[in-house]
Amino acid sequence: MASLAEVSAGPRPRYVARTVQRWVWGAIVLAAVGAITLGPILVVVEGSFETPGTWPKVLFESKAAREALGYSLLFALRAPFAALIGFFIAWLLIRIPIPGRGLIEFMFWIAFFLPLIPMTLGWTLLLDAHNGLLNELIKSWFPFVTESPFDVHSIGGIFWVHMTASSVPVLIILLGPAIRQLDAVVEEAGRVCGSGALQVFRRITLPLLIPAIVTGTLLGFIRGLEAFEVEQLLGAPAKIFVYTTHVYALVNWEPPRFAEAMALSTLVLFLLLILALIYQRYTLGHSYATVTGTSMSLRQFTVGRWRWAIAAVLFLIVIVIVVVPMAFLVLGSMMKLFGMFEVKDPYTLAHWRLVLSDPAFLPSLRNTIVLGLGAAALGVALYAILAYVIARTKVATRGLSDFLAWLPWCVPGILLGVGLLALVLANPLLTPLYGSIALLIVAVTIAQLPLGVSMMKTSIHQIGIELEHASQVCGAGRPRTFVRIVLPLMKPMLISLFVLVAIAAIRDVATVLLIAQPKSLPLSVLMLEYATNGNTEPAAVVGIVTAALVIAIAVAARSFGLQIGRAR
Amino acid sequence: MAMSPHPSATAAPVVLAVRDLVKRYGVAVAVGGIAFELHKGEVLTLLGHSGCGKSTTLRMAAGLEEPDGGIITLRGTVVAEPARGTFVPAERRNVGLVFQSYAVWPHMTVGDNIAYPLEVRRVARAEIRRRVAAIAATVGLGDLVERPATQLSGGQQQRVALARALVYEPDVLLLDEPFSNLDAKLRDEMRDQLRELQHRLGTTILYVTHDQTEAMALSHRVAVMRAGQIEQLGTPHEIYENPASFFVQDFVGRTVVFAGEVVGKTGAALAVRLAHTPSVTLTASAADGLAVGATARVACRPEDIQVTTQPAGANAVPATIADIAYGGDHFDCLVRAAGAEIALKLPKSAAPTLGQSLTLALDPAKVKLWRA
Repeated sequence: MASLAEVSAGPRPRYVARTVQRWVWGAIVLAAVGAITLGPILVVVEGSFETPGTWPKVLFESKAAREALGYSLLFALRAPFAALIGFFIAWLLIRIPIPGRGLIEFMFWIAFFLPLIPMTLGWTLLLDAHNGLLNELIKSWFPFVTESPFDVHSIGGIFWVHMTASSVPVLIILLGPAIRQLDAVVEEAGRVCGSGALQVFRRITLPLLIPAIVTGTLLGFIRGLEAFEVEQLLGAPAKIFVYTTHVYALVNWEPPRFAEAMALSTLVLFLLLILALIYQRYTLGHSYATVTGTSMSLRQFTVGRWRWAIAAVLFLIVIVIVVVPMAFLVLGSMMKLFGMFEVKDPYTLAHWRLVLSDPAFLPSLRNTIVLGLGAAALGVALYAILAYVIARTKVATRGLSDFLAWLPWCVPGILLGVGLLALVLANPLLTPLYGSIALLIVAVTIAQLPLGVSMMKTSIHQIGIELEHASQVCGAGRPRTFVRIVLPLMKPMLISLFVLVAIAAIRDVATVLLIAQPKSLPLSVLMLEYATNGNTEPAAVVGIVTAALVIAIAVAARSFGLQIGRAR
Repeated sequence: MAMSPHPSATAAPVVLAVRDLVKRYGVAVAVGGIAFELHKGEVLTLLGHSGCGKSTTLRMAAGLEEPDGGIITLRGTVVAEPARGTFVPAERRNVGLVFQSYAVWPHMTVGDNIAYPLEVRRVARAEIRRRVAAIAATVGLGDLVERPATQLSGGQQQRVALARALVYEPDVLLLDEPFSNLDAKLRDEMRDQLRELQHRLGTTILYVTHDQTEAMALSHRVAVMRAGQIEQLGTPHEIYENPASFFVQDFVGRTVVFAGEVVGKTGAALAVRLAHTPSVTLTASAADGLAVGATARVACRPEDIQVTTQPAGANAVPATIADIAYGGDHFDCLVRAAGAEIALKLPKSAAPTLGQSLTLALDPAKVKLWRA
């Protein structure tokens, strides 16, 4: 043991103290995440205080602001209904051996992915008070009906389109995993204890799934407050304004009323932040329904011939919410006058020719593709690195970085757009971004940050830590380990996320609307412009192109074996 | 069965030295200030139950875990000394590590796995190919180099992990329970191969296991660990023959234990009366500083017990056969004596019968007394 004395006398390599390293990296990561997530928000909050008198005006004087908030909350109230319907459909899809289940589930995924503007236009064609097809049919079938029974430009119309095109499909997809993970053993235990099937459902299954339903409701409520394009297309003509469309109107005012828009946004942001924190608290406290054991034995109920009836009902729902609006949209795009079936020789390809020859169309298509690919590439890279830093390193302040990365989750797209616009216009260094597609890519990347980081974190946690440690012991540093070991093992999830972000970028309207300039106009904004200017038929053409793009990506992803709408 | 003594245990240079090493998790102390040295070409095993701190020690040596106190030096260079803020991360230590889970990368072939550390070290491509082929042949993976890592059996993955850890000739090879996920037969086979490999390559190994047979078979020296401390450090022979504590004696090898009380003292020899059979008084050679009147544990190895049918003489315990199982060339008997149940192998010639009375004669030189 003589050499023990010499141990401390040995040479010491010079390394910067680890704590210092961790704080330096922590500061860099925090600054980067803070700049992109907190930056636009702070600009909005600060902007609301710039003009004196803005806050009293928004809080006490502006009837429009009050109404907008009221309508926003009213429409968000669809969340519990959507959650219940979504839960019920998801439960049927998973627990009953329905013929054609895979197709039905895939159609709900399509419904979830489809852009909202073409769906809205499809429903307008059917339910418009003046010449909606369904209204006309009912009036011709029932002579005593003289007034149109439906008006899509109404509170009910907005409810209907949102429920069918967004809320219910979203909740079916969100609640699916929770139902799937419910171990059948707990139900069987109930059966063995002498309870009937219905009693087991009521006493065991439902209580276990209530957290998932509440989570879905809260999420639906928050997303409801952030919705934009349906309210813009259906509400604005009927003078129904919600928070997002009101902000859009304020910004488009001549001259723009930025201060009011920002004050209203600050107010809504505050509300959303509280809701989002409640949501986070709740999901943390009630995770037992979603994180159960590893061996799942999912028992399906045998319902005999009833499964055909259930399948028929579900197919009918899918047809009503996806096929019907899309089919009529296609039909409408080929009509001389949208919805006018009675004119002589009503069909034409003129709108297609018009749109395809519109000098704005091809650049917009290109912009949309660049936006989709750019946001997906930038996003996946950023989310993967950030998630890795948060999940696997000891970098200081990574908890705070995690929180900041989550923040855009409760920031409405229109607010992020206002913030980015103000940020770019106020900062000479960033001004070159104005009017470039890069700004749109950044905007979508920020908007998808929470989803991306959480998906990447899940994926990283699934990789055994020893696989990384083995690489480090072999002499590879953190960056090389990340590139050579972690990324290849995450590949399936990276591709899934790439697809999801690309689709989100193509669908997005609210985030990019205010920052898109003629040169950087994507299809989604072009479509909105056509539709709000009364050019419904060209809007339908663009809508079909956009929808086709999204469906093509979803189908391609599915055929590559990705877990999109695949029944397991 | 222990390894031949390390050729020049003290003369060979120290490769890895650890002093006052401490690791805490919150308030729990995982490693409580241990010290040892590993010489070039030596195999040192950290032996202990799960949670004794052996794996934590190994991970600190690898650079995967930061110590809270003490010093670790590798080839004379301090690689961890928290008091001075020194910490060299795993990737700059040039150690090899084989994980219990093997941690073979599933997205690579066998060859890619083994080549990785050489690629990291920017070895020329032709040289990589040559060295991968050589080490693959050495560990018995010669014809599997092209195979995807996902199509390997447990034993093959084990070999890949070993080849990957050896290919860059690390200063120390760290093995963390490398055979515990293999079935018994394969485990013996791998153990023999590792022994042979170590002899041939002269690899310096720090080995972690809870399996004392493995430890005895592979090591030049064994450190028995308990609750974050090294209970005893010595050659397998020393550990087995001269355990430093009752824990070591009980943990390493089989031990027969009787409860007793010290009743007399003559020089170094103690007389102890058995608690369950007060009529018997034994003489024991080793002691734990026990005074007359103290309760004690009387411990000896089963192989130091002589079974006779003669009536009890000096240093003998009466026993009865409680159970007999026919074992082919012998009988496996369960014997009750002085409140203890002892499994003994009796020759066929003994022809034991159930309930038969026996006498267990204990060698006074081999009986040890420990504080109860």
